[in-house]
Order: sequence, then structure tokens, then C-alpha cells
Amino acid sequence: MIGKQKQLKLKNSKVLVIGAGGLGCNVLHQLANNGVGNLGIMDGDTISLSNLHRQKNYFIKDINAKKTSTLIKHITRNNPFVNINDYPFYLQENIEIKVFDQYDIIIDCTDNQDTKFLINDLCEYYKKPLIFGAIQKSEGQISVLNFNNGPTLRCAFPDNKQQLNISCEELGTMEIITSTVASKQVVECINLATENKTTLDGMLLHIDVLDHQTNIFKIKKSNSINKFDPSIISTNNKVISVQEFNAALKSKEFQFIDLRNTHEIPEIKHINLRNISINELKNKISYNDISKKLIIFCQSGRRSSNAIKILIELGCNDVVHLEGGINSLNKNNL
Amino acid sequence: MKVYVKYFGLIKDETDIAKEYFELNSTLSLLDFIEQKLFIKYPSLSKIDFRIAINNELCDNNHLIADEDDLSILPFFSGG
Repeated sequence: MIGKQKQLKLKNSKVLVIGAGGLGCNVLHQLANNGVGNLGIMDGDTISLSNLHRQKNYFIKDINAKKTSTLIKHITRNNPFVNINDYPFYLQENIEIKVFDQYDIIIDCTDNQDTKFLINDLCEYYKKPLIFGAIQKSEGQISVLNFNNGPTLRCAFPDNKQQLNISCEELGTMEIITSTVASKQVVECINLATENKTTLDGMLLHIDVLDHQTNIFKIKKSNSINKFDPSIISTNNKVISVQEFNAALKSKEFQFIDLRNTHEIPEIKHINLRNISINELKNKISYNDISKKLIIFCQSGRRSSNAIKILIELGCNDVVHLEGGINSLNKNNL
Repeated sequence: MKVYVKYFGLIKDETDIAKEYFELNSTLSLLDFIEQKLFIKYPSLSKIDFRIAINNELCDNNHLIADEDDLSILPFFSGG
């Protein structure tokens, strides 16, 4: 349909997809079906029941399996000629590896603010075009960033302040917007790979599938933006595993902080546990707290990874958070 | 003068309305508009980070608003 020459370009192109959730499943499938020859997929997550309605490559039997390897299995069943590299870990855990350098185009399909900005900064560092995609309820945003030194995500959202870092599972997302945004990301990837051009260069496309409204916003290039500094961004030495968390619960050595709201279950009880939401941290944490060995946790590990940075800013040196949050306790049946 | 305002994402959840217009008695910068109009009408918006596009271009807070401008209030989306 796009001609032999362009199809060959697609076959020779190398595309890295980060995030194997709702967007990632759709994007990777479509890229393989359209004939992109070399793909990479990065995600450290495993499949949960709540993923299944919008992450269409995963089934009941796949629960607890790694998302990346499961996705690769499904895709190569359809197209056995595609080369797919499996990166079964989170970007923050392996920030030092030079994966980005091996690809022509990076597609962001992740589901949290910190990783989105980290991907943006790495794309700027390695001079790679970034196809940004994000969804929320019935709405989605798509942009092509850092293309030929064009605007980046920090030009669009320079403050990168603490957001309400709420996941799709917590907020709810329609499957229709997931596939719509993913399709737009794939179209831009094909445009970049075959013609080295894009209609969304430095533009933020906003779509609402409920009322069919589409808006395109221009992002101005800003020079006063943050430069990538892995030493500031990396928090990979600040996590503890489920096993370490359970061992710590049996000890009186640690102060626990539960960042979850009261309706989130299961309730964790411990003599040294306080409930403080992330918005209240700065007001409720005392000098007495930050001098202790702190273990913080939330439902998915997202709020706690943001809270780590706040606590470090407050002068807390000895703080770790539970990787994957309370959800990972459930997955491990502990 | 009159400006038209559209809300997106979580902002729309807070305002409970997709679009409306504001009457301004004088020329305001974007920051003045945010603090003197938007946050007065919707105090909860001060907890959410957002950018504002004027006539479909993301603008800095010192940008002056003109009569009949279209303002779009855009939060950062992070779901995937």
C-alpha cells in the first residue's frame, strides 16, 4: 500500500517501544503488522487481572507472567519474521544501559509522569525522535518531540511539578482511546521511518473519543529547559522487594508510611506505621520521622517513587519504597 | 472584553463544564487571569499543574490576553 521502497525502509527501521500496557500492546502489534523489521519492548511489569480489558494481548492464563515476553510470543505468532528485543525491566532500573542508541525512533507508551520525562530526557541526550502518547479516561495526547532538535516534553510542560500521579487503573481509561492514540503513534512512526517527516513535529494533538473533538496545539521551543542528569533522576537504589518488605514488617527497626487513601485495600497494620498521603507529606513529616529508617509504600509503587524524592528534599537520608507497591504483595501471594 | 475558555482532562472534571467564557474588564496577562479569575472561580485548580494555549499555541504566563482569544487549559496526561 505504501510502495516497495517505503516498505523496505520500514523493514530496516529500528523502533523501541517503552511500556507494554494498553498503548504498548496496540503499538507493538501494529508496528509488526505494518512490517517494521526491528523492534524493542521495555517493561518490568507482570500481567494482572485489571489489565485485561484494555491490554488485548493478555489473557487470564497469562496473569503473573512478564508482559514483554508474553507480548513477544503473541506478536511473533502473527509475524515470525520480525526481530524483537526483550527488555523485561523498568527504564529507571537500567538507566545506564545504552539501549536508546540502538534505535532510530522511540515510542513512549508508559503510564507515569516520571518515566515520561525520563524518556524525553534520554531522547534529547541520544538525539532520537520521540513519539509521545498518553491517555486519561476518554481523552488522549500525541506528539512528536525532539525531532531535528525541535521542542521537547519540557517545552510543553516545563514545570514538571508534582502531578496527581494517578494510573489508568486508578482513574479508569476507555479501551477506545487506547487504540486510537496507539494508532496515531504508529502513523507518526511510519511517517518518520519512511519519509523522515511528521505532521506532529512540536505539536500536541489532543483527542476526546466521546465527543469526537480534536485539537492541535503548537509547542514553542524553549532553551531554558532541564538537561539530563542521570545521577539526579536515578532512584534505583531506593527500592526494596516484597521479601525485604515482609522481613522489615517483622522488625521494629523501621518507620513505615502508608501513602494510600483509607479506601485502598488490603489494610497494612504495624505498630510503627503512619498513614500520610503524598500531598500531606511536607506538612506531616517531622524531624523525628526523617531521622528514622523509613519504608514508604502505596498501591502500585508510583506515588511512593515520587514521595522518595520529596523525602530526600526534606533531608531524609535513609528511605526506601516498596517496588510495585501493595499490588506486588498480592501478586506474590504474601 | 470576552475570552473563551475550554477545559481538558482532569481540569474538566474539576470545573464540571467543558467550555465557558469570561468577561475581563482590563487586559490581563495569563498569570493574572489564572490567579484573579480561574482560581477564584475554581480554587481546586491550584492543585493541578497545567499549561494554557491561547489560540492553539502554548503560551508563557506573561503573555497578554486579547479580546476574543480562545484559551485551552491543558493538564499533563500520564496514562498509558
